[in-house]
Amino acid sequence: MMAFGYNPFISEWSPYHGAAYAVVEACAKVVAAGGSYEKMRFSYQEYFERMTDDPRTWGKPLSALLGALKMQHELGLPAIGGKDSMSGTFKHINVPPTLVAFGITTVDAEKVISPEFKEAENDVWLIKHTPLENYMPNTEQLEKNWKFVTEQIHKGRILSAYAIGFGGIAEAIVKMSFGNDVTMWFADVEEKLFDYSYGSILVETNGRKELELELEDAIIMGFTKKQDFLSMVDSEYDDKQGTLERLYKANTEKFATVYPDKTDCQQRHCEGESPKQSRLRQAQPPLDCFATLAMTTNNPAMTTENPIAYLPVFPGMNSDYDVTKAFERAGAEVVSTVFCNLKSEDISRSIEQMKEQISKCHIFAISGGFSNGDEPDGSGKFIANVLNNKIIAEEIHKLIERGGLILGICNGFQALVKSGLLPYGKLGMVTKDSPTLFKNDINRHISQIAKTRVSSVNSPWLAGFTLGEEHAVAVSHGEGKFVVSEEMANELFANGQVAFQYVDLDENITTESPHNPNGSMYAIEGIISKNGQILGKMGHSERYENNLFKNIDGNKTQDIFKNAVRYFQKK
Amino acid sequence: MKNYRIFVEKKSQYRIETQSLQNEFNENLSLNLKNLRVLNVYDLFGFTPELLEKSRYSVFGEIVTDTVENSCNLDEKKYLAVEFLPGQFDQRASSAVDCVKLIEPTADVHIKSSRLLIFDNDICDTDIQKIRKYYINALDSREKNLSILDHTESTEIKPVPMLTGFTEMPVGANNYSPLLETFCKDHGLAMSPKDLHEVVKYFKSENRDPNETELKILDTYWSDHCRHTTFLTELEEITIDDSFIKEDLQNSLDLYHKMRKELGREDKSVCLMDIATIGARYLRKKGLLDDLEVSEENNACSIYINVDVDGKPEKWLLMFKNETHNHPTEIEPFGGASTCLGGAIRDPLSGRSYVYQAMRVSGASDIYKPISETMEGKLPQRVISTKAAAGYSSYGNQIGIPATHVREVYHPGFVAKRMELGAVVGAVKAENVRRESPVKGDIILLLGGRTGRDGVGGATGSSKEQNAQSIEECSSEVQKGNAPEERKLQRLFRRPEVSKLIKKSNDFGAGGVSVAIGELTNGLDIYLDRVPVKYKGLNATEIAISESQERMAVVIEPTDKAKFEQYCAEENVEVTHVADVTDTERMRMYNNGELVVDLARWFIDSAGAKHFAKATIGEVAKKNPFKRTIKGKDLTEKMLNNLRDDNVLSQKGMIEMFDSTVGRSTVLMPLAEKRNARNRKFRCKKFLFKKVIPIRRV
Repeated sequence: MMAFGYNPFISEWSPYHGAAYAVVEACAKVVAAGGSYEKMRFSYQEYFERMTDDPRTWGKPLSALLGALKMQHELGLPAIGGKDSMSGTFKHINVPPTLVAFGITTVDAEKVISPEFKEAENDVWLIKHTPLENYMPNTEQLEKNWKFVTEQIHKGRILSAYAIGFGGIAEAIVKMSFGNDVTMWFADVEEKLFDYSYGSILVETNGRKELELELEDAIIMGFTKKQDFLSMVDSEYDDKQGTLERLYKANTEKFATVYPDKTDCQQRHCEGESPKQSRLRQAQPPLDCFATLAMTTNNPAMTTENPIAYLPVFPGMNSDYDVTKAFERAGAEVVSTVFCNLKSEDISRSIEQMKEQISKCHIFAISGGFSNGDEPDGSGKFIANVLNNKIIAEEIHKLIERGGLILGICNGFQALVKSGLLPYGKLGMVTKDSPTLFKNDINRHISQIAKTRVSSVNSPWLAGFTLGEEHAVAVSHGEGKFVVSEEMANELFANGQVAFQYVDLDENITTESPHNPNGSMYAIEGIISKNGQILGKMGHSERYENNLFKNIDGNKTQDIFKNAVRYFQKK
Repeated sequence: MKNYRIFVEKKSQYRIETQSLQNEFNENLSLNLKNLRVLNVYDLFGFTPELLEKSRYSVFGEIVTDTVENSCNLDEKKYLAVEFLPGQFDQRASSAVDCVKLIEPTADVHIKSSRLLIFDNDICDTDIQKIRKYYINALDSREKNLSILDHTESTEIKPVPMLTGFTEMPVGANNYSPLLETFCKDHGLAMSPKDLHEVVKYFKSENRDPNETELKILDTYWSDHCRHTTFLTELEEITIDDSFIKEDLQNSLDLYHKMRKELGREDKSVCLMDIATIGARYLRKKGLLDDLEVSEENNACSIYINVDVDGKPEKWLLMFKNETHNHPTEIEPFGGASTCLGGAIRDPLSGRSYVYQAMRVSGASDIYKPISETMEGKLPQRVISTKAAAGYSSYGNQIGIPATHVREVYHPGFVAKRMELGAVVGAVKAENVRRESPVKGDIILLLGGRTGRDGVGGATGSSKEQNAQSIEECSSEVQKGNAPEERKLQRLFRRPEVSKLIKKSNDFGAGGVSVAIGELTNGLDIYLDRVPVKYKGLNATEIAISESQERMAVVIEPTDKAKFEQYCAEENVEVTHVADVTDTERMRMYNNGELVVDLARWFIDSAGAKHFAKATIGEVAKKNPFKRTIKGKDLTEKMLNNLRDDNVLSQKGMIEMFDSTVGRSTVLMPLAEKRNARNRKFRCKKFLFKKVIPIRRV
């Protein structure tokens, strides 16, 4: 794990203190996450004004490095690298004296904890750092406190922790309350709520009164409560005003004016429609139960314990390793070849190579990425052009005929849609009325965990699921909005071709951001071909394994890979 | 064979990008545009009518969302057409060529892309001028003249001037001759007259005048960027002003001197570099740094860790690196930030590790300030911030490295220059890495991207002070990243059979061929004419010093050449044998058989004149530095206002631009669930391939 420390305001006042606290802050963050500071290794980034003949310009980086050296010595944490940039001057303005400390260490992922409050009725303590009289860090105290916190986290007695940062204890209280809707009741303590308190850590313990007397510098701050507002013993503090919603708004509104964090409904409607009509048009269709296909291949020649998954690697692809791992874990044998295009001979050679591999495989999978940078202006174009190549198209049709399976995730889904394999089941069918995947409504890349619902099990890919089952799946894309005409949508639903749909926290299908991250019509996240052999989806089912996304609840395993492998195995 | 120009426009229901650009113009420039149109324009050369038709809706447009026309009626219309400066990497055009080649592998086509903005009819010229100024970054683009349809490239090679009379410049006791200062200015050198003085002395001893290539190579080599001139300046006198902290500062300074003594380094000069590195030396001597990997390659920090692979312990190298691109991002935010990450990745990559996570810390001034209040000679903070975020995330998302912690820090001082800081972590199984010194007869291969003119002067440019003219003047000093190209290098280096062939490697950061290859070993013969170039017309100087992204140099044994080339072919990587290792202790460069550079290693490594400075640590005001005053009539209001502090605000809208899950290693998501808005304060990734990251306790 890696963390950084840096406060430009302290550094501006004294680069010496600034550098010392940069090291302290990075350590505290690592400790609060469940790591140990003791074997941390550092790399510093210095960024200062241009040095001149004035000795005081040289005094700034000098004092910063001395402050950092003192910390290295006292904490035993070496800086084994660093970079300097000494050109932060424009006319008479200078950047603040800057030393950013990057600290890195390794930790057992089992031991990692996240900072949001976990449950109600737990004590909240401040493991407090009191700086020395000259405002420098009290490293002796810090080491004692940090060792204590690490130990308690590893014993499971500290459930969440937050290293106090820029916004002081007040920020920690609020930000720990975001997440699980568990907030806290805090006592009217003497602590300065808004001041910097680098090195201090706010912790939630498992139960009440556990830490008492165990650590000199632990101060009880209150306890956690299942409620959606902060409360406190203080006459001037009005509970009703401190609702999470209000706090959240205060914490997000301003930044969103420059970096939008959700889509404005106004943007989504089609020409000639009011936003309301548009929403209605995208209303949720009924969830029917569809006939389930035979979930074992009916072609004996295709039956095998270890089906071959062929994953071509195209320029710009980036999820090939992840998909390989997912298929291998599921029991498939993975074959990968790189599509080369430096010279025209390379292209012909690659086409031949692909043809041969497709002819031998059971599963043909296209992983995610940015096919040639999603250029020229459109995702998946390069791959779609390869798929539409006559030689390749013929071989893909043969694969479908003999009962093989095809998968496209993210960029791969885009290529399947843009080549016609989805929803039509064969190449060369795209017309101006075809469905497509287009830029997210928010007009930027989105990376988050989305909740999706299984809306059909009409495919070998979906055979392990039950209708209505929910998954929490990683999405990360710039063009994931599924756009489809009403007519085609009706057909897809009628055929059971809609595989996955986005749902909100209350399990309702949704067209609203952020739960529908891209504004997909009918909340469609993934579709299958009519015969169920081809699946395309935006969500990265391959990105989850045990101990990942620990701060996300829900069913994170969506093993379409295993479903596909089973299809080819003898029952 | 004909030349064509086609116009691609989104159908009305797909104009989200146009809509958002219109909003941006209206908000940032206080305009009232209602019917902005944005078209992609492609100039096509070498197309047959059949090829054009075949590619119309498979390459340039998509039948569902676009219309692709052969003409666009601009009569009576107010418009602005914008194209890249010649020599800029144009990912759109380059990908279009790749797609066309899929349709017709042998086609010899050339494509130029540009954008056409058509405004409301009633827009006034002042407003168009405002848009022109805002939309066109003169560093990488220019207004396009739509009456021209051709692509004749200037293939004329500018001759490399001999600097006749160079050694006649005065040297000696009075080494600060105004003549030298004038010379530096006239030749646009980043080095100081004192450095130039050393160069004159050197060539006097060689009994010849240098040529431009040699001088520019030294200038690049000795730039602050490559050689840490500032950090190596000897601090001949250190004083500390009186204040409450003086005693503590003095103690720390004494600590430094004590360490120097214990390490037997008292003969080394006192400089910032020594203070920055002595802590690690000292702790290593004390046995507190036994995990450090020590080698002559030092592009990234490298430590040994023990990793549990399915129950079996393995020895791995963990490498990390931080890197800033402050100057390039300040002047061209998208390209600067994207190449920041690209460059940071290449350092651990050149150490043969696979980079699997990234962090980004940026520094900006007030991004909420109206555009109209932007300081003269500067881009607006909001534009720098958002375009840089787009650039960095675009590169990371494309190459497939998750950025699970991104944070922008706000301080008024960053209006002087942005901070664009990336940090990356990579890992590799220790047994797959071999580190050996090059010996005579070894060969040097160049891998990856081609050389163009866009990277000339990157190293020296960032070391110069920016002034109000920078935006107009240094037009060729910005580059665009090409993530798919770097991804190929990552795949290649990840193969153990490849990494085991590499004796030593260096990436093409600042300084191009001269520095990247020059740093590999002492004696070198480099053949400039073998370096693959993007277009004809580059002269020896340009090939030698043009930095470029996505390039790497490796030293291998000559007998491994065929094998290495085969692996490169499999991974779609261009490879060229460009240099040989010699035992001459000189860096020689040949261009078409002619010796154009012949510099002694000792002189290159001297890093120019020794620089001296005096340092004084200024007074520190006695005040409580931790105090923050938050306004508000009661605690509730203070709580809310604290959350509205620029440095406390959730940065959700920016965080979500960065892929945080690729690579199957993200232990904690940047934003916690449900409300999805908690900013995580640190970054935590699983170890590559591994179930857990074991704590190193050997």
